[in-house]
Amino acid sequence: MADTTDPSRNDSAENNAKQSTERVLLLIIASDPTVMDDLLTALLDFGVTGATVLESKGLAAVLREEMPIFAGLVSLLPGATGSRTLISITNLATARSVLDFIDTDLREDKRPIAAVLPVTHIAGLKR
Amino acid sequence: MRIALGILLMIGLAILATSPKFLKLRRATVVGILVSGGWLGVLVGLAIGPAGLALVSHDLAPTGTPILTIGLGWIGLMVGLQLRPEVLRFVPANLARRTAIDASISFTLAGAIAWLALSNAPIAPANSVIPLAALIGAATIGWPAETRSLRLTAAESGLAMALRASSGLSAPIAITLFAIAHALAGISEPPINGPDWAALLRIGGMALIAVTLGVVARFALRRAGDRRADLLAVFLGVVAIITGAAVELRVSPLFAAMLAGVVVTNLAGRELRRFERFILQAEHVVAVIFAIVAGVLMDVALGPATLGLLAAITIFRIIVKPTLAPDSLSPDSPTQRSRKIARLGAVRQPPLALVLGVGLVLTDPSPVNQQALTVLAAAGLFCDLYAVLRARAVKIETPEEPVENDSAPSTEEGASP
Repeated sequence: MADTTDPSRNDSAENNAKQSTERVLLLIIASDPTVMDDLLTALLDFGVTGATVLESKGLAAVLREEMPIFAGLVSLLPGATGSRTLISITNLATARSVLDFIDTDLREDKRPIAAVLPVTHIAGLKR
Repeated sequence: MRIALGILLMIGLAILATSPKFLKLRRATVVGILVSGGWLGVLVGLAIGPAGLALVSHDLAPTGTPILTIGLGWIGLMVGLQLRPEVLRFVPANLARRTAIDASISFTLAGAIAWLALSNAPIAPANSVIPLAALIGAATIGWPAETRSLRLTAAESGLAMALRASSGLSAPIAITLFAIAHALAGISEPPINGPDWAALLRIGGMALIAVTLGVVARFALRRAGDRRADLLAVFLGVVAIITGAAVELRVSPLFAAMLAGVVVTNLAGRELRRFERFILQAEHVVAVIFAIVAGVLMDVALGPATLGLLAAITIFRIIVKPTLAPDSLSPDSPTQRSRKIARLGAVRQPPLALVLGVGLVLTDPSPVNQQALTVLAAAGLFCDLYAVLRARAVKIETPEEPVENDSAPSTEEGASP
């Protein structure tokens, strides 16, 4: 009996399986704090249940803070700019869904910068 | 048309000067000083102004005044927006006291020196001496908030904070003293003898306008939300109305906008943070534009009186200002190095000095005012070069080496992260 399975479908299934097991580091830099709520909700919807959110500052903010010209007093305040960096170890398929969400569902002027990096070794990750 | 092109040229140069690629040039020590202090902007202004290529003429003062007045308003608003309890409660009482002492001594002594130098100078008409003395006095108050060029170490962050905070406090004091002294000196037409007491009424009227505008701005900021275009509209509306009213009432636009900033910052709520970020984003560009404008408006043909004033101000900053330097905000006792750096930091002239000078020239573009602007720029550059080069020569103190012990682990091996 001839094998009727489409080889391309086999490849696709293999690919999907690989994407759902391949671990990657998802890195998102959201400079607009108002986007965080939508972003975190989307991450939970896509199955990202663990992530670390760090307060961060852009290059321009650091330069402004270290080189105030007329507004020296403001530098006394704890320097929160509202920018957040989110890192999470997840699988490639989920990371792609998150990138698609960022590219299509978020307003362009609020869109965070996101990147996916390969992970070669992991230790201490709680399942 | 030529003025419009000149202003566009200056804005273009300012944006270029604050671009990340240009900032890389700061790695070279001397270029770093020139860029951080805004002196490169002044030199560019000189190069494109009447003293150089004459791409922009001295007519900039009367013709470009409306747009430059808006720039003054921008700076005034930046200074005023800081003056809210949430920020001021971080300023220790001791630092506030030292800032007040510096302001009173600097304003009185430097103002008196300027009055002595100019009162009998043929270039200075009698009615211009008091405004000039007020300008020099106010310009001598404080020091720059920028501490990067002093090469402070991480352990000296308390000193950096002290310099920034006292500089931030000094700015509104300098703007207020200059505005009141300048208004009282009588810039009324026709000139009157003695103080123009009606100026106090005009300043009171200006304060009322600022309060009203603050209430309107609060409502407008709520409506604007986080839309940048709307924030820009609110900002331009606030600055245009307040500076327009200031010009009509013959009150310094810098002072008027600062008052509006104080009212807005104490009335607005969360909306303010976005508005403040929006305004502060342009801080460096506006500073460079004013440095270039200062360069264009300067009259470099200094006479004996203004040369003497230049020497006196430079000597005053180098000798007197170090004694008025702030203490570090760090709870640790200051090291010898941090004391030296604090004294050198106090020698430097704040960038607000040039802005005050430009403000005076825009009000009255007379040769003596343009020469006073040159005096401020030259004194600032000399003091900056002196202080920054000396600060970089001060060695970083390392903790005492531990006594050699064979059984103890080496520093690297035993170091905790």
